[in-house]
Amino acid sequence: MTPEGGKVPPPTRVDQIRPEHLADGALSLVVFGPGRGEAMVVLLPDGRVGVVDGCREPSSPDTGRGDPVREFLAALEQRAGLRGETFRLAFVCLTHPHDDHYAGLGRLLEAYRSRVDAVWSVPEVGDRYAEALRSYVEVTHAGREPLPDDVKIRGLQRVLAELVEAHERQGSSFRHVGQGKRLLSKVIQSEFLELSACGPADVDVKHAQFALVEGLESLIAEGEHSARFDPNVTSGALLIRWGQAGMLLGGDLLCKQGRHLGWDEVCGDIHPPIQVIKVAHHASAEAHHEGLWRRLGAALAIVTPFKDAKGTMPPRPEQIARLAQDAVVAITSVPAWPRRAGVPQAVYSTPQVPRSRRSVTSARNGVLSSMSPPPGEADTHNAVAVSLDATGKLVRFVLAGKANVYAPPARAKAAP
Amino acid sequence: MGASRLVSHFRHRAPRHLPGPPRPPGLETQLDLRPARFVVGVGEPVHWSELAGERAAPVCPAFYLGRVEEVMEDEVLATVWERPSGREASVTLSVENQLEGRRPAPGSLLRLWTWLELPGGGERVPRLKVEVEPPRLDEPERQRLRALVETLKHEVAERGGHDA
Repeated sequence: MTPEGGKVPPPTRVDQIRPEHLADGALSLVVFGPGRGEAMVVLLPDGRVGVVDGCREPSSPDTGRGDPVREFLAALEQRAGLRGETFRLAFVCLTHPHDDHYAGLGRLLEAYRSRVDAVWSVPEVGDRYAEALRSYVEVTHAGREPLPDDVKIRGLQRVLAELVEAHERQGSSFRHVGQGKRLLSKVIQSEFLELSACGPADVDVKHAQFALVEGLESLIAEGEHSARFDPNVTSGALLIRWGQAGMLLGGDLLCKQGRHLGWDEVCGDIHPPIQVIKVAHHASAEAHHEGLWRRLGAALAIVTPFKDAKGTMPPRPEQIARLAQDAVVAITSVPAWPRRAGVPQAVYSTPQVPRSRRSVTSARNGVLSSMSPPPGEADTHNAVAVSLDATGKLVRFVLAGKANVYAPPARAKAAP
Repeated sequence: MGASRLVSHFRHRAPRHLPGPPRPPGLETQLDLRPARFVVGVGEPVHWSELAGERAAPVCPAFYLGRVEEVMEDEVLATVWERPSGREASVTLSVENQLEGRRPAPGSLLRLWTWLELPGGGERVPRLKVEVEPPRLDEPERQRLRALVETLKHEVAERGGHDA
């Protein structure tokens, strides 16, 4: 589907999302997706702001430059300052401890120490599972020499430490994200606003704890890493309702897989109206619950690619084509899909965004033909933003950077 | 007030026309390091272990260190860093064709040598050698994990509910 003539307004195209692009007094969501990882900023109708996950370590930890979330928050803080208001974060949520969701979040918590009202997370912060998880990640990285990806391990150490710091010493309240847990509620403009967790299922959290123990035992016994613990099976998923407006932020929660139940266990608790879905797990087939998707009938699906959608990484073209049958599908950055018939295409012309000049390698022998560079600075601000009023009407739809609406070819041609 | 000038320090190098240090015999050689953002692979030998033909000329060598990110049915996704520049890229490796059937665990360290061989007749043979270093525990780590697991098992038992 394309926005024209539907429930989604034609998009505003910008280089970078700024607070003025969103509607005042509305429920707004900004989804940042530079190509690897995702982060979201939720703006509540009363002006409060929350952060869900992180997608990039800042190039400057002090100023936050290079992390699109920090840059957006800085703009919000500047606006609050001009209005004579103090700026705080209502919540910071880590849906699950994967590096494409925690990158930069530890630095963000450092920067906003004592200015965060609540922190929400799975796994349970401060307990032995966080330590076990950290150990698991550390010992399953081979090689004793420092590689640039040490930043991932340090990022995990930092975000877990900062979550503990926030709720033990900085006065933030802590809530565990799990099925049916109400995290925040308030009446705003005579309409009830509720932010709750709809996943993971309690039974999946228990199973995941066992899986982590089993993984560690396997490591101890065999000395090598064979078992695999996947934090996606216990990813948090959030539901935001305000009047008739509804948003589902799917995290990376998967469908039933082995002994993990995922969406199959929690989908019964999720009902319309939901106008906007941040599609779970980068729109992978493993995370798509057809029954839930049909029942909710969302107007807009927002997708962030994982690893630029390279190889068989999500989102796959066929899955986007499926979603585009029922909803407008906005993808935050350009997926690295092969050019062939039937592959969804960008509906709107590509904006003049400067391309990254960083080459993949100086030795262009072409032996590793599938190489692709990481997202460059030009991708930092790729994002999709939307504002809903209390009736559930989409009043703003913004595409930033290389974000675009994708539809199967026939429909892409039909759009102006 | 005049603008300050940035003065780069002149580095003393031997003139190019003078002979350098003697090269070791054989196909193994060392590349000079030119530090960039990260320097990776210091001390890693860069070598050609086999040639396409007796008279093949190995050219355009490139060496990478890599980290296995995802293991799928037919392919492995890895992040690689070029030596010595540290330039990063994602690469998809075929389990059958490029990893010789190996399916390294996520987190494994990869050493990748790539080069072209020119056996003559205008032919260009792309070559790839991949070494896999799986994650391994040393004894202090094993002891630490054992203590952690004992505590965890106790906690899990107290919470109950393992129905698998």
